[in-house]
Amino acid sequence: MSNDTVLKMRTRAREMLASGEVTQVLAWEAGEFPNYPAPAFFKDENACGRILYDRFCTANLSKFMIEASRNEGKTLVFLRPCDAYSLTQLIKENQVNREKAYIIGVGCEGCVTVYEGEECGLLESCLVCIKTDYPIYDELIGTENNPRTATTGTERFEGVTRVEETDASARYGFWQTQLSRCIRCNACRNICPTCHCKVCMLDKESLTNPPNPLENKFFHVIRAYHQNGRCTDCGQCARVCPQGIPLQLLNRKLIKAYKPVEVQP
Amino acid sequence: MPVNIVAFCCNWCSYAGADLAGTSRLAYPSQVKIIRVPCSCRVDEAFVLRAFIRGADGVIVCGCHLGDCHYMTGNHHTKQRMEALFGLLEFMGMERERLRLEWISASEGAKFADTMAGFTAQVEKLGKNERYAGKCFEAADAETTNTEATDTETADVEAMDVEATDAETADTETTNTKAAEDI
Ligand code: SF4
Ligand code: SF4
Repeated sequence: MSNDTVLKMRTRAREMLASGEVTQVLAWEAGEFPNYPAPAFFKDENACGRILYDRFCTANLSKFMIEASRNEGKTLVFLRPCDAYSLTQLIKENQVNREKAYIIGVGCEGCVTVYEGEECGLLESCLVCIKTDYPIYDELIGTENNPRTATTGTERFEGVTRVEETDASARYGFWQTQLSRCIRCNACRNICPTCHCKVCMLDKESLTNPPNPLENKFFHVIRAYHQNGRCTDCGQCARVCPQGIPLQLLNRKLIKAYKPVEVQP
Repeated sequence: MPVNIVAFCCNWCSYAGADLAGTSRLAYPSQVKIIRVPCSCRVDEAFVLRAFIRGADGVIVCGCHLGDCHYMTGNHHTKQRMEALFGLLEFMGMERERLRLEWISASEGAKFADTMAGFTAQVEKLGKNERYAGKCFEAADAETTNTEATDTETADVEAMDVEATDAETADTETTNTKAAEDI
């Protein structure tokens, strides 16, 4: 990310807060640990110097807009293409009020994963990302050259195809090893932009304690299935999983097989 | 050991079809446990999963023929949802033959009996549902160790019986109302 982009972002944030066009700014700031920036709200124009944007800013800001659009006044939010897709979905589902959001699309070079504070390669979802456009924005900053790693839309389904090609017992074994690692921390649910119900069937106590492999499997069936037709493949769920479970495979399986409801007249 | 089949039947067509099968004295396998739902689109993924957790070996969802839904569009939604769910379960290692979606109208008593017989035979060929059965509550990773002998199997039955007497479970007949609250 060029330094220029970040400076422009700060300037715009300051300007808009000063003119009273927006009451708050949603962006990233330095987190507790190095290379772990965190989403933050800025209400004071003097604080805007803390706004940060680099390849470590992995958090998707669109989910915070649910909360923000319930507040008084507009919110300025910085979105990358994948975040903008998530926000579109949220607007469609009436979770975010478009009127209350001022959206600035920012350029994206792909986010990197961090292991023990060190950079180690692009995120899986960025490797196969094809989202170059902003489905929704008021203004763009630094988007002139958004390089893309993936060239075709089908690359992201390679993993799914590989699993599909094996036989039922191999698939069972694969998911048994993967999903029995799940500690049911619910990070994947909390981070997901389209996972926003106030009351969830998965919070039922008999389903949560104690975790066992079978229930974990059904937890994941339900989690993925509830995103059917809504998941924007932003990759946040797989990114936050502390156990490294390839959740994107489940989401993409549903995306790949997705057919809209056909109602014949 | 006979397999357990859970059939979700919509009130307006398939359940009436089952009724017709009964009044026309057409026999269908007794392991088929019918759960009546107002419309096939009432069946959500949790019902299907719950049935497997509670010891079903196959689940069949029956509704009116497309275009005949009492609520106009209900079964179109069923089709979309169940196809996605079955695909996902298959992806996660469940045999596709344990899952079926079928359209049976109120006048098709014979089709109902045939479908149930066919589906039961199909599931019987696969045997008990080892991978996704209720016994996983007791023993995780049982798949590899559970290849031989009847004593493990009786243990499973006991384990399942204990569960069945569990206050919140109640018996299969009442699962239709229970499942909704339970999960
Ligand atoms: S399921 Fe995962 S990839 Fe899909 S929208 Fe939610 S966080 Fe993003
Ligand atoms: S984030 Fe990972 S470990 Fe946590 S509940 Fe989701 S899949 Fe399980």
